[in-house]
Amino acid sequence: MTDQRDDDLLERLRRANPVPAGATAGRRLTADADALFADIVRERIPPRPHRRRAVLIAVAIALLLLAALAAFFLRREADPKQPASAACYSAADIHARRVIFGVAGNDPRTACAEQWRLGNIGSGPLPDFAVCVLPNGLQAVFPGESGSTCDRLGLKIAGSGRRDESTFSFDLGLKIHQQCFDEAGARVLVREQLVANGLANWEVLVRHDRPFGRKFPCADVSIDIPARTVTIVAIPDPFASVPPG
Amino acid sequence: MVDQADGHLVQQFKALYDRTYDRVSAFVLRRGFSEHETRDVVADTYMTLWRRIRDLPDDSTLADAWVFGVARRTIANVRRSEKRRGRLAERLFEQHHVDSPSAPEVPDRILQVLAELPRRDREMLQLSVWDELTHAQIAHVVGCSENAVAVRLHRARKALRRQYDAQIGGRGTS
Repeated sequence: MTDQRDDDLLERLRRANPVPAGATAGRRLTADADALFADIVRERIPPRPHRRRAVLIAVAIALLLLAALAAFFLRREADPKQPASAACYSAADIHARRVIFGVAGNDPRTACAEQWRLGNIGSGPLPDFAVCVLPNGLQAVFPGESGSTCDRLGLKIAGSGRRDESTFSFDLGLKIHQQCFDEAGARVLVREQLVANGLANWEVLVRHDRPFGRKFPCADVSIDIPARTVTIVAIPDPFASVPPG
Repeated sequence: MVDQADGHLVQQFKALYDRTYDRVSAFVLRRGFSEHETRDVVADTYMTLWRRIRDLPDDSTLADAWVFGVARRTIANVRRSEKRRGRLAERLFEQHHVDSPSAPEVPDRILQVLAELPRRDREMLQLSVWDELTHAQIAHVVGCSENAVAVRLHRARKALRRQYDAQIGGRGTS
């Protein structure tokens, strides 16, 4: 009943349509409609929105890449591994007197040692140097042992961090096993490697309970990093041919 | 100038234009626009369609619905920019009888009832009864599902009935 009344009402609404179907029939055939069509299609169709979006995305990616590249090179400029200058301190104290000098890619320890020799920063025998990184990124060379000095000052170790000791162990192990060194030769080699790795204050010992001789002609080493000692040990010649049987 | 590559798009657009122009004109006139205003709204509608012709649905029924959807948004834009049309719903009744040559000579009170319905109900009834769009087409025009259209139309019919009974006093439909 209600549905029928609703249908009747809708039918009445349909009849009351102010612009019934067909009332506008034929408008498309008028000159106005033709002129409008011609005007519209004269305008060039813009590219697909998603193509524009793709272009925008490509531009955004290119900008991001450029920004990443710029950031990379800026970081590289500021990388303490390749500093333009360094500070040489007169004592293992961040408030001690210091000299700033250019390093131009050289080892700052060498440059600092030169300052010491000239008497510009300190006096007396040449100490070991520790290279740390100040909070502002500048390399700082302090007199003292490489690892502990930076730690004590609350600074990062420059370059490859704590690799000084490990590099030393690796290099020394490699070199001493290349040939048969006698005691004197081994001492020279160990001392060279210690200096090269900024560990000149380490102690070099020789194990005396097994002296070098015909039975034990070659040197090997035992490295104790916490004790900062290198012990030279006599061993049989590893390069000698083993007699058959 | 339209180049060769756009030639097929012109053909597509022409087919759409030929198929829908008369109905779109009626669609706009029914929303209370004068003949002069209707020409402008129709022109804006087809200009928008031409710029987006690459997005035209393949299905012709949906393509037609898309035309009415664009016309609806064009009308909404015009109304937003012309505040004098803010009370259009209330003027719907008299407007149609001034501008439309095909309107009945004696105004039906059903038009008054329609004009007093909420905009959403009124639009549903207009799209269904006057513009003769299917549920699927209405869904495309207003941007909702077919189920939602069915529900809204049901509510609109009930609202029309309630409003009519309230005005006429439930004395019947004649």
